[in-house]
Order: sequence, then C-alpha cells, then structure tokens
Amino acid sequence: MAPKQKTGGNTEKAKEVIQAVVIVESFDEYFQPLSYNIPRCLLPICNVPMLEYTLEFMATSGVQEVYLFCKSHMEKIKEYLKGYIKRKGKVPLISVCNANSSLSVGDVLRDVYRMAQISGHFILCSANVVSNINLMRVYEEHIKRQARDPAQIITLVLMEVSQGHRIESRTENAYYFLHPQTNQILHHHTELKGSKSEDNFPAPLEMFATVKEVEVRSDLLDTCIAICSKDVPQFFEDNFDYQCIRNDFVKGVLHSDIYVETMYAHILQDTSFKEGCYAAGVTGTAAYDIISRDIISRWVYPVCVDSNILPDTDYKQDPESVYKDSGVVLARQCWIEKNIVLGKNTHIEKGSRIRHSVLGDNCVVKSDSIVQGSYLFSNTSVGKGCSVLRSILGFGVQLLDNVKIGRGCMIGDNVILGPNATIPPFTRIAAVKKPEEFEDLDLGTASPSLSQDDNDAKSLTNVPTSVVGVQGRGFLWGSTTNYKDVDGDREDDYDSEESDNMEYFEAQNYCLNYMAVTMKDVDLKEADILDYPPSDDDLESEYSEDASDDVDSGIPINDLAISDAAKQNEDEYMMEAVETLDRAHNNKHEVSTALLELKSLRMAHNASPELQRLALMRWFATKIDWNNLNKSIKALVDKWNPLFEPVTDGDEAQIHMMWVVEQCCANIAADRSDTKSVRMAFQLIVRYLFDAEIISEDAILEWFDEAKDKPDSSGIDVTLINSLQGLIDYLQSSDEESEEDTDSEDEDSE
Amino acid sequence: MHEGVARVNILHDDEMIGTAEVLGNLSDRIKGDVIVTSCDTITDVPAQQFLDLYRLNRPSVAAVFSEIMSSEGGGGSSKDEGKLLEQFFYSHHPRAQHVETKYVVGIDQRSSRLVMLKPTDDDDKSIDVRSSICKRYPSLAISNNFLDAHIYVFSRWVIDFIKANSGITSLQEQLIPLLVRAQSHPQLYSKYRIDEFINPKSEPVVEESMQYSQNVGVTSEQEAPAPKTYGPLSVFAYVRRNCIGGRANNNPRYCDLNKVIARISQAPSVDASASVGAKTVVRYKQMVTTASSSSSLLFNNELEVTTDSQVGRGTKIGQKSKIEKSVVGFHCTIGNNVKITNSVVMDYASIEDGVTLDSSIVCQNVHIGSNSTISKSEIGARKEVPADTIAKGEQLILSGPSEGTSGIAIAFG
Repeated sequence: MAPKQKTGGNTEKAKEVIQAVVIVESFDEYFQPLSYNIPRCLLPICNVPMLEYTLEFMATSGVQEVYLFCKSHMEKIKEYLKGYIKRKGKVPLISVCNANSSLSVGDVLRDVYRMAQISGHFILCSANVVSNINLMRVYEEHIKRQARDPAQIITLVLMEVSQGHRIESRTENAYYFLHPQTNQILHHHTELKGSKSEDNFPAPLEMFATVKEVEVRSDLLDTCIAICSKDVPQFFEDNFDYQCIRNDFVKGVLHSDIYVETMYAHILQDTSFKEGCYAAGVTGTAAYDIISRDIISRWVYPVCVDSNILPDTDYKQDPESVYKDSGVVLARQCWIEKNIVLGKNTHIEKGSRIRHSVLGDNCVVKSDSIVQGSYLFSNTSVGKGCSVLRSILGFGVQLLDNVKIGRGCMIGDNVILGPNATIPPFTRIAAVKKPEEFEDLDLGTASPSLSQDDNDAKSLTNVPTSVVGVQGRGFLWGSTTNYKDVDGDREDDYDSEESDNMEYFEAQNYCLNYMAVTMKDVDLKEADILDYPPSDDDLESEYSEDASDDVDSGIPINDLAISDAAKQNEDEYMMEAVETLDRAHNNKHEVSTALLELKSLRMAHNASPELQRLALMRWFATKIDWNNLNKSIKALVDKWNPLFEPVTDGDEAQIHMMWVVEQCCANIAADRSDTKSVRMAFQLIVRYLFDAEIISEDAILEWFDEAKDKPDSSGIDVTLINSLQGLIDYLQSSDEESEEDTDSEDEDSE
Repeated sequence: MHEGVARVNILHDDEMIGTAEVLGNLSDRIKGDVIVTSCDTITDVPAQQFLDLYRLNRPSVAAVFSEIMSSEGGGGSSKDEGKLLEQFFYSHHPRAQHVETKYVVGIDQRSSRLVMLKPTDDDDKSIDVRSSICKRYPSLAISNNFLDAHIYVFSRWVIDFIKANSGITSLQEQLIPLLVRAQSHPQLYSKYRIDEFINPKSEPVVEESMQYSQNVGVTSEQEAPAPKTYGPLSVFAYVRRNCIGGRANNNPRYCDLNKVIARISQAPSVDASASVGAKTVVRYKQMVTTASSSSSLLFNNELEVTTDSQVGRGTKIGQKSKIEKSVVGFHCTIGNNVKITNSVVMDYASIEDGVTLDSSIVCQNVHIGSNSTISKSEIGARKEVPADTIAKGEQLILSGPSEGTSGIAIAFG
C-alpha cells in the first residue's frame, strides 16, 4: 500500500486507512410506496436487507471506515446499524452522515468535500450493491497504478456481462473505449435504448494519439462501485453541475480540454471464477427483480440465500434452487417450482402454486392461489384463489380471496385488498394517501392513471373501493407506466424535436427500470402519438382529471395533461414572462432588450414554445385598450412583433399561435360582457399578425379548417371562429387585393 | 528454407488494370480457394498461423493486418512520401491514381472477424461508429494503425463474385470494404445477391447470441437480442502486432524496410569480400569500429550481427568514410571521405570522394560526382550526377520512362 504523501505522520501510521463512502439515498422513487415507511436500503432482497449486503461486502473487503450518507429515514438506518454492530461485534468504523440537502450523487460528493474526512483514495459505492468481489484487490491495483500514472483520478468497477444476460442494462447502451493493456478509459459514450440516435455515434480520433489500438466494449455494466482519488470530491465542488459519476463526471473530464486526469476501468470478467465477479446495484425494481434471481441462482456465490447472512435464519437449499427456512409448512398438494425462497414459518396451502418467487417470514398463501415471479415481504397473506404475477407486495399486505394482481404492481405495507378485486398491471397502491412532496421528484407518478374504462381517476384516488375491493383499504399511488404524461409534452414541442425525443425516451426508459415492464409496454407507436386528439379511454381519464386546470391556464384542450411539478414551473414562467413584458412595455424598453430577457427566462424555466406563445398572448391581451381597439392593437403589433418571430417559426407553430389567440380571446369573452368587442379584437389581432407576416395565410386557413372540424364540446368558442369567416373568405378569394378591402369587409361582417 | 513451389506461372498483362480485374481474368485458372498477395509485402507473419485461421473458420475472405512500424525517416524527397516519382510513373497510366487511404479498422476480438473498415482523412476529428456493430461484437479492437498487408485468402466464390461485378476493380478499395459492410448490412447483402455466389452447402454461422438467449430462462422478459444471421459471409482478419515488415509501397517505407532487414539479417553486416579503407567508420548500432588498414578489411567478430548497416559483396569503400544506418549493395565503389547516413545504395553505384548522402535512395549504376551533397532525394538508375551537385528533396532521374523499370505494373491499393 502506498504511504501517505501529504500528512507526514510517523512511519507506523503511514499505512492508509481504507475509507468508503456509501451513498444510501437513491434520489429516485422507484420503490415508492414500498420505501415510504422504511428506507429503501432496508428493503429485503431474498429476505435480507439490502444494506446488509453492502456492509458485509465492505467488511469482507477489508474496508476500515465507512461513511454512510443518508437522507430519508435516517433514524431507522441508525437503529438498524446499532443492531448490526451489536450482532457482528467487530465491524468497520461506520459513521452516518446527513445528506439532507443533497439532491444527487454529485451533491453528496460535494458534502464529502466539505466534510474533509477523506484523507486519501476512497471507495465510492451505493448502498444497494450486491457483490461478491474482493474490493481490496481492486483498491490495491488502483494504488499501484497511481504510482505509474499520477494523473489517475478514478477507477470504475465494471462488470462484463454476456450478451443477452438478464442483468444487461435495459435502458442504455454504454460504450467504453479502453486502452487494451491498461484499461484506461479513453472515451465513453452512452445512448438510450430505442432512441433515434441509436445508430451511429462519433468517436474522437484523438484517442489514437496516445495508443495504437483501442478496445471498444459494449458489454460492460456499471456496478455503482468506484475507487476515487481524493481529488474527486474537489472536482464535484468545482463543477457544481455534475450530478452523477458516469454521465457528468467521467464524460466531463474525458471530453474536457482542460483536464488531463485519467480514468481507468476495472473489469470483472465472468471467466475469473476463482474470485468473485459479480457486482450490481439495485437501481430500480427491475434490477431488484434480476438481482434477486441472480442471488437465488447462485451467481453471487458465496453470497447466497443459504449462506444465512442474518443470524437468525436457517435456510437450506433443496433441488432446483428452492430455499426454505425453518418452520415452513407446505400442504401435501401444492406446487413449489424452482427458484423460490420461503421465509420462516411460511405456510403454503393446498392447490397453490409458487414459482420464481421470494416469500418473507410468516407469509401465508391460502389454497388454490398462484404466486409467480413475485416478491412478498414478511407477514403477507394471500387468500384463496388469488393470483400474484410479477409484483412486489410490502410488509403485512393482506390479499383477501380472489384477488388478481397484474404484473408490475407494487403494493405498499399493510394494504388490504379484496375480496374479488382485480388490480390492473403496473398499479401502485399504498396504505396512506400519496403525500404532495413526491410530486416534484418523480416523473412517473405525476398523475394517477388507471386503465379503468368507466371510472373517474380522481375519485379513485380517494375511495378506490372499485379497485381494492369491498373490504379493501388502500390508496392509489399512481401507475408505474405513466410515461404518457411526459410523452404529452413531446407533442407540443414541434420546434425542438431533438430534445423532445430525448425527453420521451428518458421517460420511457425511466419506466423500463420498473419490474416487469417490457419494451412493449412503453413503446408507443408513432401513430398513437400522432393520434390527435387521443381517443384512448385510459388517456381520456387522464384528461378529465386535468381538464379543469387546463381551462384555467388557457392551454387549449388538445394539449395534453402536464404534471403538477411541470405545471408549477410553467405557472412561474408565465407570471414572470408577463411581468417582464409589462416592465418592458411600461418603461419603454427596446424590443431587443425584452427579447433577451425573455430568452433567459425561457432558458431558466425550460419553457416550451407553446408556453412562450401563451405567455406572450396573455400579456398582449392585457395591453389592449378596449376603447380604442384598432389603434391599440396595431400599435402593439407594430412595436412588439419581433417578440413573436422566434416562437412562430413554421406552419405548425403558427397554427398553434392561432389557437392561443383564440383561446385568449375566449377567456376574455368569458369575463367581459360585450362579446362583440372581443370578436372584433380577435379579428384585429389575427389581421395585424397576418400583416406583420407573423402568421402566414396558409396557417390561418389550415387552422380554420381544423377549428371548424372540432366538436362544440371541445371548449372552443364557435362564434369567435365564425367571426373570422370574412378574413378567411378574403384570403381564399384573392391573394393580392388591397388592404382597405379587407378592412371594410371585416367591419361589415361585424 | 523452403524447397521451392511446385510450379510458378508468370502471367503478363499489358494493360494497366486493377487488382480485382486481374483475379477476374484469371477466374478460369483458379480452381479452389486462393491466396493473393502483392510483391511489395515483406512480413514476418507465420504463414502457418494465418492459414490455420483460414482453415479453421473457412471465412469468405481472410486478410492480414499488421501494425504499422514507426518510420525512422529517410528515403524521401518526401514531404508527400515520395509521391512524385509515383506520379511520374503513373502519369502514363491515368487509371491508377495512387492515393493511399488510411483506414480505421475494427476487428472483433473474439472471432477475429473484420467488422469495420472506415476510411479517414488526416483532417477528421472523429469517426462514426455504428452502435449495432458495437453491440453485436461487444469487444471490438479498433485502430487507425493497422496496415492491410495485402495478403488475402479468398474463397472460390469470391472470384466468381468479382467476375460478375465488373465494377469492382480494386481489391483493397472496393471488394474488401464491400464485403465487410455486407456482413452487417442485409440490404447490401441481398442487393449484390451474395447468397447466390456462396456455395449453398456451406454451414451457416451460428451466432453466439443465439446460444445465450436460450440460457436466459423462462421468466426473463428481457427481449434477447434477435439473432442476426446474414448468411455465411464472413471476413476474417489476422492481426500481427509489433511485427517486422510492411509494404514497400513508397520510398520511406522502402527505406525503412531496407534498414529493418539489414538489422535482422543473419548475414555478416559487412561482406567478407568488401574492402574498407583506413579510418573509415561503418557505424553499427551502438558500436564503432575503425578499420586500420587499406587491405582486405578487418573487423571484430563481435560486431557482426547486431548492426544497423549492411555492406554488400565486392563493395569497395575508401578512406575516412562513414556509413551509418544504411544499406550498401554489391560491387559499389565508394570513395574517400564519403558520408552515407540513413540511405540505400543499390548495386554497382559509384560514389566519388567527399560526397555526403543523407536519407536518400541511390539506384543501380548511378554515378555521383565528387563533393556532392544529396539529402532526402532519390536518384534513378544509371543517372550521372555531376560533381558539386547540391540536391535536397529532389528526384534525379534519367529522362524518358522507357529507361526506367520494365515489366508489368499493377496498381495495388
């Protein structure tokens, strides 16, 4: 081991203490509502809390100091640690650190920097790693390499995964460009699976300057373990926008012209049987499922169910990977098929069938039920004739008779379901109402949506008896696949298709990290996306919920529902944009100044072009002098038309602009009594926008056709639209007639 | 030492034609699989190993790639790597435009399959890598430092394929890239109807991914990557790393190869029949020996093998001359006070007193007048260089192409 270089202690103390930073918080909500009552790291994998695996891994690797960075449920973690230390006796020095202000791994590393407890190279890993490798060897290699290459900053531990193995990443393709001898990472590229960009990617030729040959690996999986030099926290402190290790830090340093630091990969090869070669992080419920199965099928040997990591268990292995603790009672006639873990005192009654599942302690499965590919935590009971497919049931869940649970469901602690209930796939149910604070963090849980045909989704959230059954007790937590919300945004943004696609795929891939979600579930056909307005029943239930909001904010009805978090952001943007414009108008700023301010505002809020149009129009409407319509509108358009230009590029944008104008006027009409002047204003706005070449003739005509075909119920003001008939006629009949004509025609039609 | 090949046929073609066309013309003489190579290739690839790769896998094409040796410079009028001479030469054969393309080569580490061949420019900052290829071959070695050594083995059907597609004239520039691409492009594969050329009896290659997908198990819902078999077309590459050798297809490489061979040659570095004048230095790798008399030369036995220079039979070297990192041919006459560095002097050249020769190539029967200074130049055969010439980066050749080489010219590359 390398001696400490800076702190000049005496030679006996020169041996470095091996430190590890373990990030307990996961910064996502894949495990909600299961992780509502207890921290995610204490959820059981094969009936052992995840944290136990990580601590055991640390201890066997010879780590001497462990810093746990926790955020939620810190007390429970401390309590657990007390028990752990008591139980084990000799353990590494474990300190629990508060990471309450952190929102990402990057924030934690910044905390590490400020804490200044890390004296040298340290191990960084997340608290949900299941591994059988000897980290000490990796650490020593890192130290040795440090002597050769002082610029080394990080060693990523990557696992070689055979093609088609279930642990392969479901969401991203990662390509590592490595030095064939030293495994130095020369370039790193990731792409989301299924995204359009998944075809070609550029690789810099620059890397050949230092090596003659580069090895491109696409079969490596990030294990969430890394050996960092002590400068890594400093890097995160310097680059406050770094959020995660691989995508921000590794890529940032590799692609930067300033940094000369080098990175290396340690590859766990599945051919090196002598020592452990398995390491994987539970990054979502999908990974939870896969890692559980890997433990059961002994990929992680010697970390197995029957190695009885917890002291009070006594698992024994039967053929076909069936593990049973003491006190298991199986009916004479039941099917216990392969890959099963049965906890202490579990009862399986007659005629039931269990396959590929993990059942915790004291579980009861009554007669004629099927449990397949599922995870039942302790004290769960399954009634007669139930079926549980590919789902996770929390502690103390009670399924009464004849409850059918579709795949991918997550049922929170102490929920009671049934009797005779059918839970649609990907439903999440909790014993408590979903608290508000989750809304801003979680993409996937934005609005509850259920594939129920005739139910109002909103009322379901409160009294979901139709779902949970007559004696049921539980609240809807949202589905695991409402990527559709985010997908909705995609439709709006026709201006920036690139970024939108990304957003769409991010959402899709977010869902793929859930258990049992397959590509088929999240893959929306292009046709579905363009189905406008959507006629799907389950989509409609989403709209009905948000419809009232939509009217308030004036977003046209055919814009899709937006999550509350996004909505708040939009409201903020709207307010600030209107204020900015007001200021600009009142203080008689230059147009260019206002344009610049709007631009920075847009960046800050990541506002869509739709929103910008809406904000612009809203402000515009407030500035109209209702006693002097013609003049005021003309003046406004003349002065401020450059503001419209950037948001009305292309026909589609212009058509949307028309909708916005219409909607705005319709809102005003609802407030004002004299609808006549509103109609007048509408005509004038359209006309002047047309004159200023902000909206093209084609766009107006097209919009008009579209608007006419809309049913009355869709909330548009038919009278407003019809009032434009004059202008439309004019546009259709002649191209180049004098403007006076239109003017008089407009007056006439009024 | 080999015993000699059974039969050597020398075929002559008057026209300047491409390499692929040659093979097409020969198709009725080629009965089975065929090895194709060019005469400017010098390599230490063990033929056995390479052919075993072919015999084991029976690919459609197998090719040898060698790591490019770093050049020590020399042999060049050549900012542009001696293209002038070639341009002059090829100017009579307008079809052969000699521009050597650099390729980024991608080889699957597990199967030795050649899966990527992308031409690059020196100006290019990056190359496009196809993700699908990376995914299919999870461990891919890519390099821009591999040289196509122009040693190929072709399956018989490839010859038919060349014959049927008359548009293909060059092996390296057209055929090989096409076949490499067709491995992973089903459209291309079917467009050229490669299937029809391939002997239907040959077994389709079983893809690795297929085997794995069966192991995944029943409950796995992860879609295993669909096994993609595009038929039995496969291009293999044998990579020789740290090799000695290369292709003498331009002057600097010719020069380098000369020196490399002098270095590894078993023959004495100064032939016993050569004579070296007094105080002449023939600099060997690190050691210097000084001949003490003008008679038949004296040199220490210890110096014989590890040398940098070679002096051929019957060559006479005058006094106070110095030869470093150079190869001097047979029966040359080198005067007094001559300095030869980093150069190749071919047979029967005569170099008079006081000449300085640096990083140059001197062909047969050249006569260089006294006190000339020649650096980074090439001197064509039989050229008379007058005394006191100062040449730098020039090509001194006899006018008229007929005086140059005779024989057939095949544009390789």
